[in-house]
Amino acid sequence: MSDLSTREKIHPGTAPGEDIALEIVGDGDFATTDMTLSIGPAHPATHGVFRIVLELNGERITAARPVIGYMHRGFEKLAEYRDFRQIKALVNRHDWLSGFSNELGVALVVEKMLEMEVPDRAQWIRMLIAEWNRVLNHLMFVGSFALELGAITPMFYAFRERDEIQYLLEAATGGRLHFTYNQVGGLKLDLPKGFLAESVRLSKLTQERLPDYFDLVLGNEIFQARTVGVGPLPPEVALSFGVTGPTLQAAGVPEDSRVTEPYLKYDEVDVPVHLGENGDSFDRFACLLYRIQYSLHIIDQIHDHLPAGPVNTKLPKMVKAPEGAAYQRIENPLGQLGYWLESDGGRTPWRLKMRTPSFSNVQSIPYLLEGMLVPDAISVLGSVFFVVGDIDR
Amino acid sequence: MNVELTASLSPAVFVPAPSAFDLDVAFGITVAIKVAFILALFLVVPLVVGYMEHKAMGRLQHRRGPVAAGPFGTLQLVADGIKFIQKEDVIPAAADRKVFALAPGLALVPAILVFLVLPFGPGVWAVDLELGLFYALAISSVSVLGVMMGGWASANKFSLIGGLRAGAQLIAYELPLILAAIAVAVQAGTLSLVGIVEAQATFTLPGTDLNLWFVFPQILGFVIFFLASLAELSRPPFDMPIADSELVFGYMTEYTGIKFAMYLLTEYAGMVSMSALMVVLYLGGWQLLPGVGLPGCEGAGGMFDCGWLGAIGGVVITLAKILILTFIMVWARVAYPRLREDQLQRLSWLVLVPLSLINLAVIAIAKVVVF
Amino acid sequence: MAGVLARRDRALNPEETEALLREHLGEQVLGSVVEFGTFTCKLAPEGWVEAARLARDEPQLAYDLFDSLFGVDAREEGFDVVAVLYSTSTGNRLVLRTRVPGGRDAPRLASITEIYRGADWMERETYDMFGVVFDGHPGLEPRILTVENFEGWPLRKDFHLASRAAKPWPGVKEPAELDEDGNVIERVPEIGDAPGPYELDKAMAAQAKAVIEQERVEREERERKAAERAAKAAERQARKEAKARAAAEAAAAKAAAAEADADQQPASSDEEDGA
Repeated sequence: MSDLSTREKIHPGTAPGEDIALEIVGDGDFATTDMTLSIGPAHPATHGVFRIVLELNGERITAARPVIGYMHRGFEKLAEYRDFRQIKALVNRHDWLSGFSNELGVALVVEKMLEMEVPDRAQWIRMLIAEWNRVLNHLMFVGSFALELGAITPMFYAFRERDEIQYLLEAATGGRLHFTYNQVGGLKLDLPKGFLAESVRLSKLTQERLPDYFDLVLGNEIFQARTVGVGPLPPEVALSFGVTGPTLQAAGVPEDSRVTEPYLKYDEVDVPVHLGENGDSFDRFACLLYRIQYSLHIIDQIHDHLPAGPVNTKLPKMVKAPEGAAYQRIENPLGQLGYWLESDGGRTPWRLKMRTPSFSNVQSIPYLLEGMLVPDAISVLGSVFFVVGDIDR
Repeated sequence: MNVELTASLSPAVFVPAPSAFDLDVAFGITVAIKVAFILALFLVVPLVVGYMEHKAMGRLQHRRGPVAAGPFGTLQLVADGIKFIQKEDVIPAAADRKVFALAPGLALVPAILVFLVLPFGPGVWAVDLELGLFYALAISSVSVLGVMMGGWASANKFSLIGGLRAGAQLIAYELPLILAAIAVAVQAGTLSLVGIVEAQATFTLPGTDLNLWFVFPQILGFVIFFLASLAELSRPPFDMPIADSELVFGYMTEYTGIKFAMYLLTEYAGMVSMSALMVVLYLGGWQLLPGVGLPGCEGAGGMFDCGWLGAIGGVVITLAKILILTFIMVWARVAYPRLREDQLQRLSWLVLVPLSLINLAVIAIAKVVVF
Repeated sequence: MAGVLARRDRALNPEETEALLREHLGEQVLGSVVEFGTFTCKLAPEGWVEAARLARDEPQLAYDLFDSLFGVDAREEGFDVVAVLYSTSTGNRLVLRTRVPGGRDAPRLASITEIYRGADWMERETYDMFGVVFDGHPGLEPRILTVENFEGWPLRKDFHLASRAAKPWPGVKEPAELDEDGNVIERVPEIGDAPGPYELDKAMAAQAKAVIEQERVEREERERKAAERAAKAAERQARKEAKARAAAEAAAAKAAAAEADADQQPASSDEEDGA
């Protein structure tokens, strides 16, 4: 059988002697065409509606382009049509895994503009719930990152803890995701009876179970093989992108608003921060795990400090922020959340800008992915922690 | 190959061991019984293994596993099967329809055919081929063709990458698998699976009359065989062809309904047949413990020529060993994340292949010098 | 944690920062204000890029963390663009603000993507929301958050919320609860008089803590006992060894003595012989 007829067999549409039109790239004998692989908008690794377009040469990524906006819900516009007190019900929806921290940020920025004194007890309870919220969020990512690397079990372990914490927070706030527990000037209600005792018990329990994650995930040889040295993010690049939170701390930058710009009563407790060395996937994940441990450490201190007193203040019948602009930054579980609130003296904000950590973190993904293999892309996507609602708002 | 050549190659004329199915009845009835036996094994044992996987994974993950369908959820997989049959059979518009439809079948049929030669108890096998081990390994690696066809025909990039990964994985792990199996064949002096069981029942530690299974001298080979068969079956931590967080579901992404179920059944049947091979090659077949024969048996090592009691006991022991091995596979799935494709290749070519060669060399020398 | 705000003591205060910016940018610094603890520096659009570069590169400023960049509607005069910068070494925050030239019809501003990588998406978002075009940006299209064929600039004040056009904002009045007939339920707000921690609460927390304390004490007790046992065992061992050593020494001494005797014996016999 001659060469020509073989070709005919393979490509029936080609006339004898005619060259097959194929775009050949690369050099050497074994040349291949590039392939465009669109991961998402609905894909297991994107946990949400998020798309990333990869240009592949074999399994090596030559370019990556994240496409966002599938979940854009226009919160910034909606906030301009809401009373200052109503915004909190909007903002606890953009990062649905850290609802309490989001509404806390709005409450703090409005209080800043109103120059309002918040009772001590309210501030301590806010810290307590915010730290529990952080633990909840991080446990979710511990599970999902391991799942993306193919380990199914940590997810179930994480949900065991998460469920108990969810019940605890539900007892205080009545919500499981969108707590709406903050109020301008304090909290909606005081803690219910028995909350503290349960909180103490749960903090102890979670600390006892935490070594499981260190052993099962961080100490796992295959996990290490998949993450060590994968997707290193140099500190200056991370800062230039505005990457914050565990992803920045993994690069070795000691930046945590709870330490550098303490809000609430964080200056009265010990806030340890774990720093990574290489900023690779492994360090990012280690920072996440240590943040759980240190959050529980903070929770223990709050149990000791919680004072008596009222939890909210009398609000005027009409809440009107004075003309001007204020910026408040808090350490959200995923990084630094900033609210820029600008008021024209009316009853609704003139402009509310949400500076969300996920938006900035995801920006660094094209930088990280270039030159990687597809499985490493998953390791990077899972360890640059983001929530899709937090990107798109 | 002609008969004379075969005869001239083999030192002695091969006499197949007698099977319980060698009944003195019409040829057609014998064949029908054998086919029914193979199909029954093929349909029941993977279901049991699947149920065990559900339950074991559940318990290892603080869950309860299936509880609703049937007593203790035992009928869950049957319910799943019925659901799969009812599902719409979706074929992507751009797919190569013939290849797409053919692929799951091509993956499934070799999985059934492996069961032909697997001995499950004294006299409980369909055929005792002279080249049983060769046949089992050869036929089980045909499955990957179905996988690659499915990956290509789906007209989906995730499927394509999954299919190619499966092909690469097969090439990488076939070699250590076969090299490990050769060492067993060398030590047993036969390629017949029944012959290998017999060789283990009569193998004693040189200088003593301590009966040993091949797993003891060939522990290295056993570990290599186990790892390589995990990779052959695309079981975690070597499940890159499926890799649900990267490739959605690899070559199975576009499959629905009964075709999807056929791929799943292939996987579970593969777990059973690979475990059965390990039991035969390394764990003494249907022997309860080394040196312990079955009741009512007279043949070599108290393992052959048994009555009904011995046959049933042998089958129970084999199935128990298969369940233990598949449980270890499930355990690995629960405990480990998945490797990366290049790490998998490195593990095979740089670690497993040299180790299996060393294993083969040691066994071959020992066969001549010691055994 | 090492290195937190390493240069906090050398951080410039707002007046010094403004003076430093004025020194380099001159007339392009239009003024500054400290509002609610945030220092905002108003710039002419011509000095926008230069100010960002200065903020990053000037060692005394070192604003390394790019926080955010966004637009604000400035009514008839067009739009403001605001950039928030933060320094991880001094802990200072600087807000740069400029009025975009071009009014509401053709707002254009220079891009700072060359200086801060993070400005890329932030500028795309500002373009998407306000229609501000950034010169020198690698690619403002396709629209980043809204759909590709979306028309209009959503965050401009003249872009009306469709649902609000159909139905007036419920917040025009005070938020009110309605009963089944749609009448407003009048409630006296019960704010400001919430109780402190409950006695039971405190007691239970104390109890839970006592349990932990008890466990800690027991654990320490166990550890102490184990240590004691270990010490005793070590002591016994040492005694045994000492005894053994003494015995060995005694035996050695005896042997030496015997040897000496043996040595002496012939000597003495020699002597005897000699005698």
